[in-house]
Amino acid sequence: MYQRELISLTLKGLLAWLTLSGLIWYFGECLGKALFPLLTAGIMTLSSEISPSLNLVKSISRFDDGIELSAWVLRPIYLNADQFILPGTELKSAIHLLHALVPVVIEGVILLVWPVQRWSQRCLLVVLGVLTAILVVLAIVPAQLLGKLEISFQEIPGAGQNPRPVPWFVDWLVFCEMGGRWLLAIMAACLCIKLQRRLLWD
Amino acid sequence: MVFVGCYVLLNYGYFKISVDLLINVIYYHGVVTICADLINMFAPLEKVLAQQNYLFSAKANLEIVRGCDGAGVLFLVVSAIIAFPSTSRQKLTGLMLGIGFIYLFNLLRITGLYFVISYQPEWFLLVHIYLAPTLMVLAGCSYFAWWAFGSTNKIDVPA
Repeated sequence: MYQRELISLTLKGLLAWLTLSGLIWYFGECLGKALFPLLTAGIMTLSSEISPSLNLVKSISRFDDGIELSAWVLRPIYLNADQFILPGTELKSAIHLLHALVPVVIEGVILLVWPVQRWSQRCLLVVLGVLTAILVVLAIVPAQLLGKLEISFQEIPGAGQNPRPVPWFVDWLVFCEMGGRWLLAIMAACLCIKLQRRLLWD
Repeated sequence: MVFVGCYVLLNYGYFKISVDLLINVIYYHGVVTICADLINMFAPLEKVLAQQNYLFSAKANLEIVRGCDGAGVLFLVVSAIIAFPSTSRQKLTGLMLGIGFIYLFNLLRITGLYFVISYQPEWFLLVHIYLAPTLMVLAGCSYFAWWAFGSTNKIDVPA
């Protein structure tokens, strides 16, 4: 019996994945732009040395659309005892938009196929899913953009004295890039399921 | 919590593996050579060569790096199986099958990526950064659901 349920779940999962992928394909740009104010606030929380500005870099194929961080240096950023980046310098880093939305799709698919008894439970799961997906993106993208900038700084200090210490968000970036982002998506989905059960338990 | 703890521990252990060991032994013998053999078996004209963590041919040059080796999904599946309440025997079976499944899926992914970069390079980014990660994680979730369903069904049989 459970084989049939599993096949049905897998098919539902594929359908949910296709639907969400279609939505990301057509509305990913709007979604990315809508998140810019929150992402900018996240970047400002992580670093007070720069003034961030985000923009969407479009490509012809749309596969390569990216979120670009333009960071204006507000005060000298010391790379080591001898070298620093002057205030007023504009620094840039970018990430792929589709890659940034992978955790959202994973979380969405889990929540859309999770077995529920009533539509109200599914609706609550979707609402909670949207809210937690924003948190997941906020937990990943600002650190990723700033981390990429920081990694480019870190290549210089090795040569000098008193090199710039590695900020915690670089380790977080590496953790996320090595699969931690998927863990966050799955944890967010589990959290939504627990909350839904608590709020709408039969 | 056990799930997250296991994942973090596995991730920590993964970072303790030296780059030399990863490139010259694990990737070379465990991934690159097998993918090259697979490609050469099904498409002998490709004449793919395996060197360290690279797949070389006249058409493409594919590098396998830390983080793009399927380890993230493998750790998720392993952690979920360890954290799930089941018997040791079921867990061991689930781990062996799960590791095998993810490993094979990853070989398929890398082989597929080789063909994408060789014949449709403009599709490479889409497959590499979106399609492959989402499908691999969801395949891992499906495998876990399959295993968990099976193990709970056996546990819950009334006496």
